[in-house]
Amino acid sequence: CGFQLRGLVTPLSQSAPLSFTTLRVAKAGSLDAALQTALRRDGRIRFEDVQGNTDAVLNIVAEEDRKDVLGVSLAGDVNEYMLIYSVSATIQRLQDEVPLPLTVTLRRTMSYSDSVTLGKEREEALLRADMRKEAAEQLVRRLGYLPAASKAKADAGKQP
Amino acid sequence: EKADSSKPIELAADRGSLDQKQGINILEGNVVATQGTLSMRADKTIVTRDAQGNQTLQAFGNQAQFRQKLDGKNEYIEGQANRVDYTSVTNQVVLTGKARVKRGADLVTGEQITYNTVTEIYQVMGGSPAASGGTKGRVTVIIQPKPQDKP
Amino acid sequence: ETIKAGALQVEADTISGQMDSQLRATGSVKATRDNQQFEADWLEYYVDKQLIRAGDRARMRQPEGTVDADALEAYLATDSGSARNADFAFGQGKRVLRGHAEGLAMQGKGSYQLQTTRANTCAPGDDSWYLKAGTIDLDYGRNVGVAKHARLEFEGVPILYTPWMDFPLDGGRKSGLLFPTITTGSDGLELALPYYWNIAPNYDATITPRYIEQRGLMLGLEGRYLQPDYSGKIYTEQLPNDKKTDSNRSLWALEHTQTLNQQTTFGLNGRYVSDEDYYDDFGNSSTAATSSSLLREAWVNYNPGWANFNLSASRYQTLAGGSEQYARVPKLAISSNKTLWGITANLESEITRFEHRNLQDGWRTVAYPSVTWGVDKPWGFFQAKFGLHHTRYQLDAYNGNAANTLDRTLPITTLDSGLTFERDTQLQGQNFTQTLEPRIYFVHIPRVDQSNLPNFDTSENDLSFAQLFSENRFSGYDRINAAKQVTTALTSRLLDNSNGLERLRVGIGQRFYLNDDDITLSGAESKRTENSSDILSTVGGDLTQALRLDATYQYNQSLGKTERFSTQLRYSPAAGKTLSLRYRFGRNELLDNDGNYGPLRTIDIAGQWPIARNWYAVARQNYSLQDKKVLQRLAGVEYNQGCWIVRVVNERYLTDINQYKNAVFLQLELKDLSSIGNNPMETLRLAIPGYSNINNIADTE
Repeated sequence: CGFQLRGLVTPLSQSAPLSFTTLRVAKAGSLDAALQTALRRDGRIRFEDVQGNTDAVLNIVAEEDRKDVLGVSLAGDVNEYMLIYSVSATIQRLQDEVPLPLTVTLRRTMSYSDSVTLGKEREEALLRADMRKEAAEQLVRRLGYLPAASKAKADAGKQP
Repeated sequence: EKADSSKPIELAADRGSLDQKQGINILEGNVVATQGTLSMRADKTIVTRDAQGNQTLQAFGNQAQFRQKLDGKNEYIEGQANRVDYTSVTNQVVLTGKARVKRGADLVTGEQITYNTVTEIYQVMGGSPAASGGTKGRVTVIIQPKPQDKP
Repeated sequence: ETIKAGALQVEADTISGQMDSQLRATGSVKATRDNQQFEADWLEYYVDKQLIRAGDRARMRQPEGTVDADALEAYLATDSGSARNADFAFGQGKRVLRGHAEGLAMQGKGSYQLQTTRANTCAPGDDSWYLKAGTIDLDYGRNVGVAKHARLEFEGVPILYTPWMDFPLDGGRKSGLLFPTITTGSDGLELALPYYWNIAPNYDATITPRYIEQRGLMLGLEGRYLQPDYSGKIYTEQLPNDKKTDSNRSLWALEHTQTLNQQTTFGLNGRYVSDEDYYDDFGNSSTAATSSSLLREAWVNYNPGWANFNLSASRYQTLAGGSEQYARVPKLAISSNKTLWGITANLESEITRFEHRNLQDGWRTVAYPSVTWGVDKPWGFFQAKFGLHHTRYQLDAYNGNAANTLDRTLPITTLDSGLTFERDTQLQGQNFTQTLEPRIYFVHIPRVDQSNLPNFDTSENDLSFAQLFSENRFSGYDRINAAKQVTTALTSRLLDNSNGLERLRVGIGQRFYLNDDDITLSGAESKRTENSSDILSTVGGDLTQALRLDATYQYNQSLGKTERFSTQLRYSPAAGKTLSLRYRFGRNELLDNDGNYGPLRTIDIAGQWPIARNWYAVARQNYSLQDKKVLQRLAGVEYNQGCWIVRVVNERYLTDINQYKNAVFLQLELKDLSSIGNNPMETLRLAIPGYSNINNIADTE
């Protein structure tokens, strides 16, 4: 049905070449480990973490963790949270005049009860780590879809 | 300079005709009148002398020229117009018809400019609508910034 | 003629003057100098003073705006001067400050002072409200306006006086005047008058006197500070004498983070209230719901690069409806990993002192070293992990038992692998890349009885994709589930080829148990009754540009019933237009703070929609189908007159079983002058997914 393993038959660097070869991640914040795994998994990008002259710099500009009340119990106490993680990054390539913005917003729901506050603290950490893993995957995947070389173009699709 | 008006006016031209009785001297073709640092160039200039011997010049040209050095500065005042009348005894210059007077970097333009070469006082008129193509004639003065206040 | 910068060009019907000294122009005079223009009946210019005098009625146009005035005097060199009886319109684009001033002073480039003035930000001729002030200083360099002895009149009615107030000229900063919020509710009339004071670029304060009819005058104070290496927020509410309870009511909240050096950061954060009903009495719908236990913690994080050390101490204050939590005083977490020849050694460890007023106290030490080896490729990955999870409890004497030490050591083995298949596909004329991502995750943990171990910080996680692919279904360290299981999942994503954004994602996963050893939350050994977990499936994405669907369905195979189902459909075609429907079903859910489980069915409908030209309705109903009860309700209207916005919103929410709090808040927002206190906006943003502030929506036809 047309599915092939990604980058197995023809390496990704030929089938879907990137618009840069070396990348440095500046100020990775809490995405550091997740980004390294995602970049390693993608394989197209030689990952430099030294101050060498790379032809692209990914900069994690801001991260925000929010926790909104989603459901309440009959006593008016929260029994479901919406966990929101949003990260805004920029990728500055040599050929771009101004860095291109990349934003990712992810959501997870989590049930809650004050009777298990400490346990839910840990579960929230598990869900937030999972969101960082996915955010890193999305950021790295979108590095492959950057416009060839352009003036600053607003990031076409902001996540809702 | 102030001293100019006490000096004699020398005239040169391609050709000239003299009407002794009325004291009118008409010169035509590359007319150059000089009096000290003041000089006037025109295609045609009429020089008249009144009873007391005071001379007035009427210069016509496709833009008659007027030039005089400022007192105590090596800057010049230059004017041009279709017609320039200069009355030496009153140091009065009247430029009429697309008149322009440039003094250092400052510039005055209008239909008619009257200018006193000693007091440097001037009036600029826009002239009647007919004279300047239907709209009320406009005048402009441009005062360039002084060196000390270069932005 | 080349006009040099700084040259003055005067055009008029007639001009007379003296060279290099002065001139007087009359007859519809126009004078321009760089980007300054003057128009007047007559105009004089004095060369040495570079002074322009113009009258009788002169117009001055500067980059910052236009002034029509009498007796205009302008010193061009110093951009200073004055005028009388001035009508002004400052600002560009939509942000315009318009009005009249008895006196106007120009005080240097881009700064003006309006004296005895009346100003607003409305369209010409719209005097629905205006700010009367003794003086308004406008500084277009710092983009701030400061009004002194300011009085606000709305439709001719004076509604506010303030001796001093600043406001943004470019909307970049918060305004001094956060508009008053008037609420009528169970405590009678409440009037909150927030007041923002931008002390310095990195310090600001919001002072909120709040009059509550049946309780008295409360003062709220929030101070925020932002420095290169530390920043934070201090917030307090003080009600010295609550007439209703005849006691002192107060709230303290602090957030502080600081970078001590390259490797070390430090932080404090916490909330503390004077009594357990504080939030029910003074909070709003969201703080009332989330304040059963208030965390107070301090932490230091040190990361020299090869490891991360986090030392913290945390305690909870228990409020009405909350249960007492263990304090962790202190907790030291150490984590590190090192990769050598493709093999990564990891260490996860934690030493914690747990204390509780009436439960078992003790120390718990966890050391969980592990080694992982893996392969990462664009087409797939493989990771093997072997670890040894060691936990030691040093328990104090309790309930007649002497102090004792208990240990638990468990080998944990996991094998994780996944493949990524892709193909190009077309949908509605757009190119997409569709992925197919199978994943298999094996976990082996032998079973050991843990019923003698205390439960300090452990609970059972919801079944989620994150939980499906983690070793332990319990969070916290006190219970480690027995496992000989294989989790399989299949995810398919639709990626937009123009920007790589995930347009749609579908996923399904299930865990298969290879033996029936299990551990319950109590720690006791048990036998599983079924050989596979619930089936978890999820779908999420933008069906169209405006329509977003998110749904999760969990099927309980052993009971042959739906275990959990939640879906949200949100339609947001434009700003000011959004509808959201959320349905949540749970067969046996954690219902409340007392840890009761039971069926749960709720439906949450919310929307913001224009109902007439410039009129918007906002509504929300969170209704429990199971208990036939309204949990939260909100209804209101917003009107945008173009220059001011008024909101009237009624909110009804539960503060305890069958105890509702009802509040109507009225809120007036003046365009570009006052930004809104965050209370009403935050409530609307939380209640209505996709809610947008209508003050920046163009006038709707």
